Amino acid sequence: MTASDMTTTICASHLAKSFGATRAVHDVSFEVHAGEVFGLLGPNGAGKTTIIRMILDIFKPDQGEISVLGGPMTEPKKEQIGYLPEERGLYKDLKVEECVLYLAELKGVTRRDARLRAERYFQQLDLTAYKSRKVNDLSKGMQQKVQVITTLIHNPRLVIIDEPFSGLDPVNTRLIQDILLKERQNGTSIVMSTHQMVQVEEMCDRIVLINKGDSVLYGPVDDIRHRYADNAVHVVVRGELPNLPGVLETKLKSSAYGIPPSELAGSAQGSSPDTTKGAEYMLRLPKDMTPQALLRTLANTPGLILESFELAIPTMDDIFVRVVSGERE
Amino acid sequence: MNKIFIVARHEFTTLITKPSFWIALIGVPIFMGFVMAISLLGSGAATAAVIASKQNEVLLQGYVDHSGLVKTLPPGVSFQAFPDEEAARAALSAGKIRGYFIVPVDYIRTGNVTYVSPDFSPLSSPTGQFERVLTYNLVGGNEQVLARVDTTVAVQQETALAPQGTKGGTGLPFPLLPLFAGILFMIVMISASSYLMQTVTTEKETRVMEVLMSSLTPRQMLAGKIIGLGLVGFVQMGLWLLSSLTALNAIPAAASLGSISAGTVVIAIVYFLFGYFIYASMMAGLGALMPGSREAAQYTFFILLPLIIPMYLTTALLYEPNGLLATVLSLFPFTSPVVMVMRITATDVPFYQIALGVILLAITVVGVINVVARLFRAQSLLSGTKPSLRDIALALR
Repeated sequence: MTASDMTTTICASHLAKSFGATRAVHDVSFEVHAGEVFGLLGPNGAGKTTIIRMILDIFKPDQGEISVLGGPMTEPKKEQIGYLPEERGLYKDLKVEECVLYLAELKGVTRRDARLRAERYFQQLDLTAYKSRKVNDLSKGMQQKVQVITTLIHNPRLVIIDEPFSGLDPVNTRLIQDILLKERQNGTSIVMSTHQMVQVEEMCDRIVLINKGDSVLYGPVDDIRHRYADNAVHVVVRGELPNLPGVLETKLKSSAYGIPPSELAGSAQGSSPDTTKGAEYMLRLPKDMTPQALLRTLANTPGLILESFELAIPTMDDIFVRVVSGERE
Repeated sequence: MNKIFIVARHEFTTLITKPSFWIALIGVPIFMGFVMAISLLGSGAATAAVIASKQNEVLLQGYVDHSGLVKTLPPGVSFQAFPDEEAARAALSAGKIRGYFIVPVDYIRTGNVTYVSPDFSPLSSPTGQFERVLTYNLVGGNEQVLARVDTTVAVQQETALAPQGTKGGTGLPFPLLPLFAGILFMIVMISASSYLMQTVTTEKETRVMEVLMSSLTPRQMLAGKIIGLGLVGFVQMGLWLLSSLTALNAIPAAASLGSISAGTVVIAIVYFLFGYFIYASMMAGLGALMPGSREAAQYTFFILLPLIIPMYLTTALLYEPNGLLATVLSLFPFTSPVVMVMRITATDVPFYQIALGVILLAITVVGVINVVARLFRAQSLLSGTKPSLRDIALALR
C-alpha cells in the first residue's frame, strides 16, 4: 500500500453507468482524501445517487474503476462505511432505539455496544425522551437526527451523506455540522451531496460538480471560487463615491446595513444613496487594473470613508448556476 | 451468516410484537373452533350430545342392532335402540327420531352399516358418532382403548323412507379435519409469504433498502427474511396444531372430525416448510420487482392462486382423497403443500406418493429460490419503476 493509498479513501476513475438506454454517468473521476469533507454536487438527475451507489458497491460500474478504503469493496469494508440517504431511510413503524440498534448491528456493532453508543448520541442530540417512540411519531427534523445517528454509530472511516441538513432548523443544523466536522477532525472522510451551497462553502474542502453524468468541476473549494472570480471588488464606503477612472462598472449592492438597493429611500440602483450612511458597491475592473491600484485611489479620495474592501469572490451558488447553465471556466 | 441471523431475528421479533399477529394467532383458532362447533351442532354427533345433556329436548338418532354388538353406549352419547327395523321406521315416521342406523348380522365381517333418514346431508351426518358407538363396543367398552383406536366404517346410506331410496357404495361423508388442516395451511402460508413481500416493498418505499444494501448482500437479506418469517409461520402453525390436537382429544364430540397421528404431523411440517419456502420466495421476488406494495398487490393473487385452488375443489378432493385429481394435485409442487396435508388427514396415502411429493417439492424449492435470487439484486430492489417483461427477462439472465 502506497502513501497515496493511505490517504485516499475513494479513488474513482472514469466511471460510467447506464440503465438501458439511459446514460446515468458518463465519465466521472475524482478522489476523496482521508479527513476531508468532499462535496458531491450537481443538479437533480445529474447522476449523484448512481455514483454513491457505485461507491457503496450496490451498483457495478459499466466502465471505469472505483477503489474504496484502499481497494475493491468487500463485506467487512461495508462495516466501515456510514450512509445517510436523502430523506427517510428508517423503519417508520419501529421504535427509535430498536431501529438504531438493528441498523447498528448490521454494521457489525454488538447489541450491547450499540445500546451504549446510541444512548450517548440520544443525549447529545436531545432525543433521549423520544427513543421509545415510533419513528413515524417524530418530526422530520428529529427523524433526520436519528438518521445521522444510524450513519455514525459504528464509527465509520467513510461517511456518505445525502442532504444531511434537510428538515433541520438552524440550531440543529449547527449541531449536526459540528458533529460531522468533529468526525473529520478524527480522520473520517465525508462525502456530502447537497444543494445547499452555503453548507458547501462552510464545510467542504474539495468538490466535484456533476452535470448530465459528466464531471464539470473538480478541486478545492477555495481554488474554484478564485478561478471563477472576475476582476472585481466589493467596497463599503461612507460619503459620495466619485467616478473612478478605469473602473468598468459601479454597481450599488446595498446599504452597509444590509438593505437592498430597491428598498433604499430615494435611491435607484446605480444612483447615489444617502451619503451619511454606508453603502456597498461592486466595482468591476479592467484586466490591467489591480485591486491594489483601486484601493490607493479610494484611500486618497477626499471625503470618502472606506469601511470595507474585499475581492469579489463568487459564491458557490453563483458558480453552480453558471456551470450548470453551460458556462465553463 | 451472522447478518442472516440478525435479519431473521429482526423480522421474527418485529412480527411477533405486532398486535395484529396475536389477534390472528388467537382469532383464527377461535374462528375455526366456532365453525367446527357449528358443523358439529349440525351433525348428529353434537345433536346427540346435546340431547343427552338436555334430556331429549331435541330428536334422537336410533339404531337397530342385528349383530348383537352394541351392549352399551359411550359416556355422553345417546342413541335410542330399536328391536327391529319396523319399530325404528315407525318412530321415524312419527317424527320421534331423526334417523336410524341398521347394524346387520354380518357387520363384523363386512363393516357395513346402513343409515336411514328423511334427508341426506353429508356435513350433518351422525355417522361419526355412531362409529364411536360401534368402536366403543368393539373394544369392549374400554375408553382408553377407544381413544387409541382409529377405525373407519363403511355406511350404506338410505336417503328416504321408501325401500327404493337405498344407495349402495361407500358414500362416507368426508371428515372435516382435512378441510380445516388445508385451510390452516393455506392461511399460514399466505399470511407469512404476504408479510415477507410487504416487508420488502415497505423497505423499498421508505428507502431503508438503500441503507440495508450498504450493509449486507441481497441474498443475506432474502435468507434472513425467509428464515425469520418462516419461523413465525412455524410457531403459528405449531400452536394451531397443538390447540387442534388438544381440542380433538379433549372434546369427545370432536372425535367425529377425524384424528391426527404424530406421523401425520411430521409429514405436514415437512410439506409446510417446503411450501412456505416456495411461496415466500416467489412473493419476495414479486416484492423485489415491483416499486411498491400497491403495484405488488396487483399480482399477489396470481402467485397465490395455486394455494387457493384446492379450496374450490374440496368436495372432489375429500370425497375421493385417493382419486386421480387429489393424487395429481398432491404431487404438483405448487398445490401439494395444501392438498397432501388434506389427503393425509383424510385417508391413508401410499408412502411412495408422500416421498415423491417431497422430492418434487425439494426440486421446486431449489429452482424457485435460484430464480428469485436473480431477481433479488440491488438494481431491482432500488428501482422505483414498474419493470417491463424485458426488464424481468434481463434480471433473470
